[in-house]
Amino acid sequence: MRVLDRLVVGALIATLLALLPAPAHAGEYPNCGEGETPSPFPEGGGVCIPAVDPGQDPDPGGEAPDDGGTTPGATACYDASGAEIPCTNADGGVWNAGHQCYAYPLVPQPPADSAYWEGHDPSEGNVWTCDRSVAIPGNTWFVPGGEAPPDPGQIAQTIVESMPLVKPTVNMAPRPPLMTYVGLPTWLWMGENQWSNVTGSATIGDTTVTVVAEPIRVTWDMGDGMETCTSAGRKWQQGMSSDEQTDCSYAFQHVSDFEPDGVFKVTAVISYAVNWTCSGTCLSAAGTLGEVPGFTSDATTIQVGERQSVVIR
Amino acid sequence: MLATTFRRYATAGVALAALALFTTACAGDRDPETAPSDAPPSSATGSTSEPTTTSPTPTLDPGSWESKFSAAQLEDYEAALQRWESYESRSEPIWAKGKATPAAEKLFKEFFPHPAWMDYWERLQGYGQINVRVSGTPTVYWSKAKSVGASGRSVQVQQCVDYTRVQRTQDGNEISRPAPKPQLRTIFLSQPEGYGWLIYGVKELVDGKPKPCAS
Repeated sequence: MRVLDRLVVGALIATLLALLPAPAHAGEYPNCGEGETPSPFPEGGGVCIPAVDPGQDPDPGGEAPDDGGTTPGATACYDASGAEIPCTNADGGVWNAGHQCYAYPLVPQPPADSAYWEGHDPSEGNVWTCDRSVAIPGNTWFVPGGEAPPDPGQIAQTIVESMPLVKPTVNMAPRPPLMTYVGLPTWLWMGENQWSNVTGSATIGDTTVTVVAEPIRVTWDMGDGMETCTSAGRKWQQGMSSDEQTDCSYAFQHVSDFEPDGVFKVTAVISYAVNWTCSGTCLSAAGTLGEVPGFTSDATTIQVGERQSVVIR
Repeated sequence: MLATTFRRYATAGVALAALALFTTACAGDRDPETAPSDAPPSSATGSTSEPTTTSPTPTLDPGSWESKFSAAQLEDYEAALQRWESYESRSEPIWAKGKATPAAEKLFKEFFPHPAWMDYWERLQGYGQINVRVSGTPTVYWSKAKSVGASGRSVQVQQCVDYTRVQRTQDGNEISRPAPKPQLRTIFLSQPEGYGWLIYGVKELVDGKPKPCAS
């Protein structure tokens, strides 16, 4: 019976211990599964967030910072196990064999008298880090030679500012100086080939940034309202029947009699989705500048009249 | 006989259950040595927030650290601290919404150098994907300059903060975490040539754990 006593009490203890909640320890957070990465809270605890896929750089032969742990100009990079890995990641990190991590130069570089430099002359190199969240003296190091690569986003911005974004040509049917009428769908379209991608690129040192501006919308200011179209519009050609359709038209709501010179001024502007890619030595492989407006067209005027219905019996 | 045996088992079970409950109740009472000091609040330089708790608050004697710096260095420290405070207040609504918007990306780029801004940006993206929101800012008990570079372009700000009033939720439910206690954080700010103050790093965990202010 004593044996049975011990067995039962032992089982009870084991059951109760298993039921006890694990005590909370500061800094503890759940073990993250595959495809997740821990995001600790500063006060302890944390969550697992979806890991960002670093992707693979199309040019795996990127040159890593030479701090003794890498071979400049290497065409392949290897981790500690000897497995071949991309030399750069999608964020522009460059594999550093010495630190076994993807490294990044600080941009901008810290001031000359800061502890990051560890006594080195800033003119002779750059400060790099592997820890993207906290770049502090102790987890950064000096890499002699070269300049930190420029910010490709800033280069992209500069490119866009000088890119030949389109100033559309305004076309309407009925074609001015013919009059259009209240409630009548007036066809709108721009010049041929004006609805097309615009590209530009620039190279600074080993960094080449290519910008592509893709038209996504044209906003027509019709004088008595706005119309937004997602295409160049369809050109109206003489001889078309009244059954023909267009995906870009506008029906005026008011006559233009009370406007200056008795006409509405019509302008159009194309909005572009602007994205960039970087090749060579890059802080980031790609990025976006969001929506950027092109140039506003010259104004075209149109007279809007009104038709009266006459019922004939 | 059988009844006696079962009574004995039942008694043992109740006792163990009581022990289990007691142990659970005490699980959160750890690290008594991290409790804030009993001294009343002082007017520590750079303190930004009034503590919301009625418990004793950690304090700092301004004279104990200010005397180590020149007036110019203290001015640099104040400028750097203001920059940090600006980030903390301007980023709060972003973390509270938990949406990775272009405006959020712009703000991170405004306050952090490369690659630090990417880490904050990707964290916000991750929070957005799993519906995590962070609202409120920590209570700052005191702030001081830990170091100020000779040129005044690099400052380390040390603060004693408490995250109790920072709410972290997932799908609207509070995320379980250890009970926050006053802890140290060090903010590394630098002002590179041609730039304003940038936050190069914020160090809050030592070996994965917060470091109490009292130690």
